[in-house]
Amino acid sequence: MIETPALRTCDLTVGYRARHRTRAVLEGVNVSVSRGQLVCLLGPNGIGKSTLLRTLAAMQPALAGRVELDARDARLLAPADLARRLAVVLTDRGAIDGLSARRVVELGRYPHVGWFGVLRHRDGIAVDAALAAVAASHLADQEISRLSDGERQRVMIARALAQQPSVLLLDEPTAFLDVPSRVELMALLRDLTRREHVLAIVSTHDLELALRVADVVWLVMPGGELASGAPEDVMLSGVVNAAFEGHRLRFHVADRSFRLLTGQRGDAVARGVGVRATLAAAVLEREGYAVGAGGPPLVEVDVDDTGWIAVAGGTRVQGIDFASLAHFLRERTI
Amino acid sequence: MTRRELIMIAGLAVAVFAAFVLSLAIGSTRIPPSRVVEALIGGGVSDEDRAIVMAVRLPRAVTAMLAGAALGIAGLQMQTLFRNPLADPFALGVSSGASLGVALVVLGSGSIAGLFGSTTGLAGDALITAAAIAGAGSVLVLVLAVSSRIGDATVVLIFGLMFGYAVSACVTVLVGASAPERLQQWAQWGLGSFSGVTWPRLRLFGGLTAFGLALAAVTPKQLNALLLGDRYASSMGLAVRRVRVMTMAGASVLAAVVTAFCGPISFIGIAVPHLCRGLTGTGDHRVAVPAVVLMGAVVALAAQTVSVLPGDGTVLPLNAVTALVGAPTVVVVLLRRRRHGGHV
Repeated sequence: MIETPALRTCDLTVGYRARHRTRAVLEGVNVSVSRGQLVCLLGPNGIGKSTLLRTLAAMQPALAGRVELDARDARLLAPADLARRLAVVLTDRGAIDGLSARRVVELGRYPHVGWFGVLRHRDGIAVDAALAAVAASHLADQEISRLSDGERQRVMIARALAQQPSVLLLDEPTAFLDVPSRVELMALLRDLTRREHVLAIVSTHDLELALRVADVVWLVMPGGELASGAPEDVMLSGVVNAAFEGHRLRFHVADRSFRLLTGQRGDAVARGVGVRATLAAAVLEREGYAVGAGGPPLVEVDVDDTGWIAVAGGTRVQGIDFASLAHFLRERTI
Repeated sequence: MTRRELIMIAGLAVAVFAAFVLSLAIGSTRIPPSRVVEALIGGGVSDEDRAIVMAVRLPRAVTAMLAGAALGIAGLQMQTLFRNPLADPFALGVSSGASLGVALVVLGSGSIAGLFGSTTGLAGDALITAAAIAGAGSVLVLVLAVSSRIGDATVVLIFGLMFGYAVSACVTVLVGASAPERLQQWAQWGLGSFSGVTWPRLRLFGGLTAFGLALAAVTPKQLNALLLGDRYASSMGLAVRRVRVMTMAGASVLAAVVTAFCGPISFIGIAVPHLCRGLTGTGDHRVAVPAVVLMGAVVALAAQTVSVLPGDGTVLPLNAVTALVGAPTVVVVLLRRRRHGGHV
């Protein structure tokens, strides 16, 4: 049996409508994703990632086409029904500093409770489960204002989980976090999609991390289209470089990371065993050489566990650490 | 509710009772609390004492309790609506709007007696109250319209302050053009007083404040959701626009009614919600609404009692008392928030 997609778009066009003009930022978006998947929405700043997320969350009307949640047209869902299928984590800070983490998560039960917001036993269970799912049970009684940014973000995710949605939309949840917290949060989101069987759609700037953890990446292209697929397929198709065209970056598929565009000073070779050769190549690239490009090398570097030997323009220099190699390469310019 | 929150609310209820009895006991002549209680339950006290308690001090105390609760709730609603701890009917110009409404009716019709005279008909009260509500409501709608465009809480607050000044200036122009004897009365009204509301007037005053308080009492879930921000609130299925309009209407009615009947009373609106947050340790409206009602009543009764403490019929201006107590409270609260890493 094929599972119904949790979220599907049909010829979706997103953008802004101002007075008599419309400005589309993304056109003809056709994607279909299921529960249990982690989707990362990627692309340069200001290209329409947030607009797409807002449209998927029905916070902003689509210019054309439609969004389906669990095979139902999102526009036709009652607000509370929509809230039981789709929950968001936004960058808005709100005025919740005076609330305990538990009370913040309780807010997520609102689409499930009556007008007066009286929480019943099953709501308490859902709140406990949501806190446990993000490993924040021990923070339940702490005031939000006393939590670290990473802990706060986990509580906000628990609040969204308490809505018991099939789709979680997260707008740059890692934006204010330090590097370890970013990695942890993405790993947590990945685990959540599996354990809680939800679809998580995350917009992020952290392309390298996203390509490692996502099941599906959506890459916003400069032309206003969306490239979609498994990270490896997307990388192989070469669209990553197209998406970040014009930037002084080049994406290397082999090590799934960006490198500064270099090589203005000529070609170089780094020889050696294992990680040392890689690091020597990194030093050469930082100093402006293209390593292993195939041309006649201006600099040749050999490394082993005693140090490095560089041959350049007939001179031969040796040293022990990479700082001295970098120093030698810089001196050569002058 | 947690244990602490329950204890604090129960404590506040006891404090309301104590402040209530005290405010009946203290005045131009002092009546011992035991005799006050006897007068209330119809025991054997002198006719004079009974008359003072029942005809003068009881309506005054009830007015103070209702006004304090109303101002506190209006302040709480505005702080939530604007997500700004410094918002209150005064800071946002809502009280000034109400004053303008009152001024237009009173100075325009030339019957300021309607504000103080115990014999004025209900129609005059109703007209003044309606004008105050219209004035307060229009200012709040304007400020909210600006806030939805600007979003920066500080700018909105400054806009509210400036708007309040501008409206006050209009009132000053109106006052300047009026006869000198009305000026004196207008100034008196501006000092604030809970004594002008007699039993017959209390029916209108009490009815309207009860309506506003009831509105806050049935919407704690909606107010809580607004704390997260409008986008979050709507993502949880809340009809944000409707809730905002409803809350705005409630806050305007509360602030305007109190202003119409008791004068522009400062600081209770901003200080009471903060006092409650400090006491109960939470911003959750399921706790904050009852706590603010009780705390508002206590603070207003206390201010009323302090204002008549000099005895001999000397009465300190109510606004001086609320400001002397309220201003330091706000300063302390803000300093504590800073220390705890809260955002102002």
